[in-house]
Amino acid sequence: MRKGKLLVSVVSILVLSLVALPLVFGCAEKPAVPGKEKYVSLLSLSDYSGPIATITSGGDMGATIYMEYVNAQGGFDGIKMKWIGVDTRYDTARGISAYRRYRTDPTILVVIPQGTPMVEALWPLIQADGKVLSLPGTGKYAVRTNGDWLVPGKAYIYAPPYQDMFGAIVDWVVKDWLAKGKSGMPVLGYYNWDNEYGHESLLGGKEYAEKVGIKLLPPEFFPVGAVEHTVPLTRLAEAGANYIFAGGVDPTPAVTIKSAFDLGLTKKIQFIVDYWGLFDHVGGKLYPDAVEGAVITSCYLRGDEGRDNPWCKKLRDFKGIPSSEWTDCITAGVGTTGMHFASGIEAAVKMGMSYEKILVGDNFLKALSKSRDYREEGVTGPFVFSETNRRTLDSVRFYQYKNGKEVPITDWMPCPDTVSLHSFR
Amino acid sequence: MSELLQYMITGLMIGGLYALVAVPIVLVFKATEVVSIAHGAVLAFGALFFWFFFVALGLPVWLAILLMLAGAGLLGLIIERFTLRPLIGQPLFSAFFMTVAIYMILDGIFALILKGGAVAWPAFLPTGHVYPAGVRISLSLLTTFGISLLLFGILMVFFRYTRMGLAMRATAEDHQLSQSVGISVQSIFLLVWIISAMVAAVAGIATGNVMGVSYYLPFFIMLKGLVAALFGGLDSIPGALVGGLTLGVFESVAAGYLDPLVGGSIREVAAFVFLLFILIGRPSGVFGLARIERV
Amino acid sequence: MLPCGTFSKDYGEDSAVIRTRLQWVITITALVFLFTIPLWGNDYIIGLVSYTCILIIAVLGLQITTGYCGQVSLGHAGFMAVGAYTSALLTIKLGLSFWLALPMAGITAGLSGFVFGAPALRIKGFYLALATMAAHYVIIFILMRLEITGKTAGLHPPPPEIGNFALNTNVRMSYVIISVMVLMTFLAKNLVRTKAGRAFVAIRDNDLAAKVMGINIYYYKLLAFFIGCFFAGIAGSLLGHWWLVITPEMFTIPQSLIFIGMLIIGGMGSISGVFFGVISLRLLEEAVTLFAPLLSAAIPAVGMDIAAPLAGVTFGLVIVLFLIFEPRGLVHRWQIFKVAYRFHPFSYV
Repeated sequence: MRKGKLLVSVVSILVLSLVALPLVFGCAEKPAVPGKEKYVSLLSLSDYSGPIATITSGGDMGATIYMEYVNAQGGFDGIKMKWIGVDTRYDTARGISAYRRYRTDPTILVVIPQGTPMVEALWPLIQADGKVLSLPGTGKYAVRTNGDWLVPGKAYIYAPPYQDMFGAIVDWVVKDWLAKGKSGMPVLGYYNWDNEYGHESLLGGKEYAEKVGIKLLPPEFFPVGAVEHTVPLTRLAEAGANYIFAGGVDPTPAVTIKSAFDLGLTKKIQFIVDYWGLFDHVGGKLYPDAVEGAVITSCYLRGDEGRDNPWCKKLRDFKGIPSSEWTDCITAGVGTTGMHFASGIEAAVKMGMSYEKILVGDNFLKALSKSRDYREEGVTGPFVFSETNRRTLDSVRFYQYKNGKEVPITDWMPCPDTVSLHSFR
Repeated sequence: MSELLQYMITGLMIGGLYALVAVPIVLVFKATEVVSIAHGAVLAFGALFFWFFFVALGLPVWLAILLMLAGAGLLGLIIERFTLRPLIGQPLFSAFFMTVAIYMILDGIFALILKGGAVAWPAFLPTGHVYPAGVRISLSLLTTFGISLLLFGILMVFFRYTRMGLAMRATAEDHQLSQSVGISVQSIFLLVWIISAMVAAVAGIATGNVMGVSYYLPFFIMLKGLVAALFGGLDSIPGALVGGLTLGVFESVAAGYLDPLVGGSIREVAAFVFLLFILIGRPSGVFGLARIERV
Repeated sequence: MLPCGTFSKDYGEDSAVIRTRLQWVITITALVFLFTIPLWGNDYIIGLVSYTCILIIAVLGLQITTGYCGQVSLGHAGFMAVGAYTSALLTIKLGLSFWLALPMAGITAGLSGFVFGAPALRIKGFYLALATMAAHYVIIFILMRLEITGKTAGLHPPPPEIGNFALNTNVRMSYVIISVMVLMTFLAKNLVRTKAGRAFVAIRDNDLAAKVMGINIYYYKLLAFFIGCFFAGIAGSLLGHWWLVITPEMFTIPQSLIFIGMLIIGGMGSISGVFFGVISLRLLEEAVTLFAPLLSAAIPAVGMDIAAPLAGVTFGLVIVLFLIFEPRGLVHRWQIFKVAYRFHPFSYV
């Protein structure tokens, strides 16, 4: 008996030591040896299993395919690109720990913390390491006062800031209202996640709505994990909303709209979602009846327009992906995260920068501001990044679900600059 | 006034859902004195199984339901046999934490399968809404309410008029005495887990009907079911019904009036505040048996 | 069980924590090792060690509340949040020095422990667990709504300073964190050997009997919460001033559950158990994160990097195994091991 107990104790301690292997791993972790091939990497702190998994899984795939395609052509003068994706499940602590693990890799030029809270947390760290930060849409970083950035550092915003997008939505709502022959101003409801991202659109968007004169109802927020929306929706309906902006990353807006559909609200109220809502392979597939007629604000081509875009088609054929499996998210990844990075590198190479020079953040941004000529047209709106504008894109296109397909109902509309209307601290 | 009525009716319908989720927890507690958090995840798996059989395999509805019940029962069996049986005799808190651990495992597997996305099935129950007296009621919620009432009816009949039900009630009262009259307490435990898993799976279908099956389903619904069960009394099945309905109404009314003041999310906080009041005021719940300890 | 030949000549020696020379050697080596990590470790290791130390401080508090006093607290991360926000507000809004804000954060968290631990006076066991979980949620909800706490954006605490010397790098901060951890361990270890500590254990074992014996269980239960939350507050404050950002999303309910898991795996009712539990679970999580990409590469159907849910599954699995096979935790195994080598060949204890 005593031998048995001793054995078990020894075995368990051995197992524990095995678990201590990561410590050894960590110690021995040397920065990636470049080897023969010159790589420029992008680190994406994504979410593959949490609230925003739908967009980041597809988006990362899109960007990766784009990079593989370019690499297969020999890269840009031999310089190839690499995408490093890490799962953080939208958890800030995990994101920070993941970033720490990779920060010693000298080939990493750009870091994308997918998730507005994570951007806040990692901004000082990434800047201190001299890397470039790319973020989805927080407006604060686009603010420039007296020729200086409100938040100094190296960054680019890879989609139009959320408040600018909301401004475009307000513009569209007014246009649609008048086109329907109504008079007066429409009533717009706001229903979004109760976190940084959910509140962002109003920081500037609210001021713009007031400026335009439409009636913006008091915003309603719900926790990221909530799945029951009857009460707030009925409240918005009773308050007379004609349009409701349902935010969140799919499948959240799909569930919201389904709840509204079950209550019969979608006939009277026009629902609008943002870039990350109602993807064809998520929301569109889950509740085709409910999303019929819903409007999508998108900064990249959606649906068949995205699939049939010549550049996407090229990538599809390259990777052998059938048309039915090419989702909106993949188009998003190609057009935003993938294309910005790639065209920046290409511009840098064409400007004559050497591999070492490209890895310097400031040089990359300089090149990015000149990268318009190296982009494929059409997947997104016009590219506007410059030394004085951290936004890469500032136009959106509106789509609507008709007969189960996303049909464009406007052309590329510029987003108003609502960021400057709000006083950020 | 019609606002209040709207909130109350909505709350009642949602409460039916909560009650459905509370039943498995009460069932298990009644027989084994263990509070099970794991049923939230079993519920989600029930919905997933149903989706798999109904949508992925394309089987007819009734067959999908039967297979799903079988799958859920199997899950309950595995949980009881492999993880809870070894804990007989250990302090109850260990068993409770074991269910938490099982919940985490199942939730993790669930997230791995879903990968952040969601699944839904084509509606096979009535959808749309009705509009009696100026109150909007979504039909899927109404159907859920109906299902929970039906289920309660079945369970009441089962516990009152069948031998098995009698054996379970006896086990819930006193393990030793039941053993002395020849009831095998261990097999009763097993049976309770299987039945409660099946009920949870049915609740899963009902929930999935209303809100789709997404990766945060387990946590959200588990919490509400637990609060409902606690309110009604952990060892009382009619209590679960009352608890669920009350929680639903309380939440909806609170959310209805307080959300605009506080900016939203009142629904979840209301559930927790409700919970705190129950626990401080009457931990054994409205219908439960009160243990008197003057400490 | 002391090794043969160890005896005490006075009460001082009898009540000492470190008895033998070997224990002294090990303790000093461990301390030296800890304090030199910042010198030889790379950034990842330093970050890992610092984070683990912060968790150790928090779980030490939980051990006192739950392990020693039997008051289950599933809201510990919420009290960490209280400490973090308090210290951030004191340094940002009032301009206090970090060294003052740190203990005050602890005290504030402790006081909130008083308030939210009050249900412990009426309810026990599982019910108390739920009440503390509810408390956690309420705390986070309040933090997310108040303008002063930055609503959902959170706050940016400044790094601590000694005179003009700012401790804003990982290496410098890790010294602070490790020192505080050592101090708090010392505090905790001695706390459980005082009269209060003994009262805690009595309450845990049978509170009715404890009351009958004359122990004021109301006072001691609240004290247990106060102390536990004090530790949590200190941990939270350190975290805030190290990461220079705090958001409500950093302190989640699953985090509280992980703390309890660390207690179970390490062993309830023992200070060394805290170390076993925290270190093993942290290493496990890092191991899963490192190996998950390999798994994804091997089995493409699994999808891209699935570290996060896999960590959850692994954690649950480990707890299940421990609850079935070793409910007394790793520290129990460790004690068996010690006895085995000390009393060899008579180790059939």
